[in-house]
Amino acid sequence: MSVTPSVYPLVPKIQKETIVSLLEVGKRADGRGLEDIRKISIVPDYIGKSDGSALVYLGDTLVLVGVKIEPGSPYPDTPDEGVLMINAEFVPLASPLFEPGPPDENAYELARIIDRSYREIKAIELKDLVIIPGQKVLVLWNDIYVLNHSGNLIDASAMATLVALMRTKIPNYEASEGGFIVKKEGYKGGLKVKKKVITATVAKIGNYYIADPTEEEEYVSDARLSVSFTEDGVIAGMQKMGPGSLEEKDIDAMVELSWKVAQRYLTEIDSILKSFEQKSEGRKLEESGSSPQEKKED
Amino acid sequence: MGKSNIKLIDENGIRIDGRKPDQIRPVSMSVGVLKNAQGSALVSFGKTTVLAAVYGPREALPRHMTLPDRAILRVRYHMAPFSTTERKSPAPTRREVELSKVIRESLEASVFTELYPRTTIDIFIEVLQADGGTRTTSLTAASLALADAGIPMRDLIAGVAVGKVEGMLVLDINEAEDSGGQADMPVGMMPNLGKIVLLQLNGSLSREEFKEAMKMAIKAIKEIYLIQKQTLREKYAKITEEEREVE
Amino acid sequence: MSDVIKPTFYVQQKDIVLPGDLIAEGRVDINSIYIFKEGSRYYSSIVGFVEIKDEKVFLIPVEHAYLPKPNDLVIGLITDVGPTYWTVDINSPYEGQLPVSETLLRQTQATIDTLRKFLSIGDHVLLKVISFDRLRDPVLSMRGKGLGKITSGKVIEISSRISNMLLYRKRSIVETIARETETNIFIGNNARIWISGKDSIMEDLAVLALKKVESTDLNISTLDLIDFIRQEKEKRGGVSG
Repeated sequence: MSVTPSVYPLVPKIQKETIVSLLEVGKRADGRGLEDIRKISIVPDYIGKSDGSALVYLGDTLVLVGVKIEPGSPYPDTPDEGVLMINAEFVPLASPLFEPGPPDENAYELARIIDRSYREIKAIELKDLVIIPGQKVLVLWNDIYVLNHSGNLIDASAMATLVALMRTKIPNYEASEGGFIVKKEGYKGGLKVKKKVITATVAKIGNYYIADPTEEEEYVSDARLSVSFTEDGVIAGMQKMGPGSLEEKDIDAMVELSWKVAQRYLTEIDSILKSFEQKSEGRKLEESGSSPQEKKED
Repeated sequence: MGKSNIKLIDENGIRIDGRKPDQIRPVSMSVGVLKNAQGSALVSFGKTTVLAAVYGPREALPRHMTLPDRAILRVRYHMAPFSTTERKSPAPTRREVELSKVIRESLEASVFTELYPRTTIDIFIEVLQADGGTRTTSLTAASLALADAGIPMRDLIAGVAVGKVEGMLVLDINEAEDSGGQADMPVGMMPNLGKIVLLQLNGSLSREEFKEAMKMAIKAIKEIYLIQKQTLREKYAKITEEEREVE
Repeated sequence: MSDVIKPTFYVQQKDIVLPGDLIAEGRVDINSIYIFKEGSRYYSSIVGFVEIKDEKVFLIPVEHAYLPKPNDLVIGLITDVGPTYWTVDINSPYEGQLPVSETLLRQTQATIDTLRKFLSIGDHVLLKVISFDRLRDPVLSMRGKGLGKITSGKVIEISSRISNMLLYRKRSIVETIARETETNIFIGNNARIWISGKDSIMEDLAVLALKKVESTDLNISTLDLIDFIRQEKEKRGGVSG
């Protein structure tokens, strides 16, 4: 059952008025313009024990994604494909509003938005995750861990998911003679991300559309629209959020703005990954093979 | 959405159930179908059948769950175990939790909750048979049930899903089209005010296709809205006639 | 400018309106919490009937939750006894409060025991609403002619629409039932009805007749109603009037 939240942080009226009056002169409380996004920083391969991971800061919002790949059963209708599972946890340390316990509707919604954006467009090559067709495949668990909620969890999670998946290596599972699945040393290779998928959220406050809303902006917004795109601009998913309404012209404008924002996210991710890969290549040569994470573990 | 070997649209552009691309399924609606509820509605789009009931506004317990300046809405979207091809466990799935939320947020855009502070309005939705478009059918039924319960709202909400099947945009997709298609885009709207309250997209569309799909949805929603209004009017038409006789 | 000021009505007296229906445009005297404004247009928010009186537009909702108004007479059910007041279910989203000061019980005597003796959980009471603003629970009073504990007869609940019709428009139906069953029938503003007669059989007959009126959605002629009551009376051993 979904219940109107009654533990909303109370945004003082004057604050809402301030937000709106700032928007009228093209500014936001944190000094950004309406279409500006917050500072992004990304740490790929943050968790050495995972098969792929990324820590993403979007302003003060902090999201960690860890990917684990394990043997499992295929879906009956896709016997020759691995399984993609996207899950989200809003852990209590991330916000005074989060409670311990099973995921709530917001966590489910977030996970399903990200999941849909990858699933239908077949962004991940799941055929590479088969051990015995129809019987044993690899299940890819993409766990989204929200560590600090300062608004726009969806975009931060989408970025962390994309980077983690692009950094994911497929463990070397093989079927032994007795039909057992055994894990061998090393990796089979990198996970093939066929399409880079990203999600960008735009909020509507009064007559204004703003990119990358903060938590406070989310609370005062009329509604939000999260749009998922592939890198070539095809819409791969969409979700209207919040208890308000939008007109057709709002949606058109918000889709356009979210595409602009999505391209910015992708550019940022590309440049961060490029410099990270160059650095780790360099380190690999110096340290001849052992990766920095494994060292940290000892 | 898996690939399917069945052809979903023939060479004449006719869909597997005989419809044209821009045609909705036969729609039937009735209100006041449950005695106990303050308001109720039964809505079918083809084989998809949804029952919605409204209880309240009523005192919310526990008290701390209420809001001092408006009513809270509690919405449960639930699929009956026998509603699907394979039995569905009655325990709520992630999908049902999410859909309960998007339906609640859509209804909150329409209900004047500020008229009933400190109370709760419960909206229970049971999908009795699922054949595609269950969330938009649910939203259409829930809105009718709210009107039947006498809960003040800005407008009725009507909804429909547009899909992309074999490269073609089609209206009000059924389950076969949903699972064999490339996109499913449910839309819910308050037609008189031109306000969209529910919008999701599962699958992929170009931006041009998206705009076209939106236009198709809005056009169909206006048709569905007329059926909703007719349904409500029919229930009360007798009473006015009776009253006029008395005058 | 002039067409903004001059109102345009899109509805007529007694029309049924639905949520989202356009009612009027321009400067109109609106007198209903069920009509809302968007720009210069007025819309209905409920299923209801239009009433235009002295250029003012009202909406009578067909179904609605009972919201108490001062001076309403309500039939309440005592659900709790507090130190200085009783909690009263008045068939509304809001619970009523009956303070000791609004009864004939002297405040100096007010202890939990005297309160319980005076009115206890499960008692029906006929009360008047003195104040209500939706932020605080409605305050009720027992001071006034006819008000007090209901000690005999039967109390039933019917739909708010039928109750309002019986109360304001179709008094004749109520009078017919009362006459045929020799009972007194009191209709509260909160869709509860109190029936009291000389014996239980006649009261049951009145209840049955009221339920019949409700189930036929008021579509029953006076003659048919009288026939119905007389037939039922026969079945019960022909108590004659």
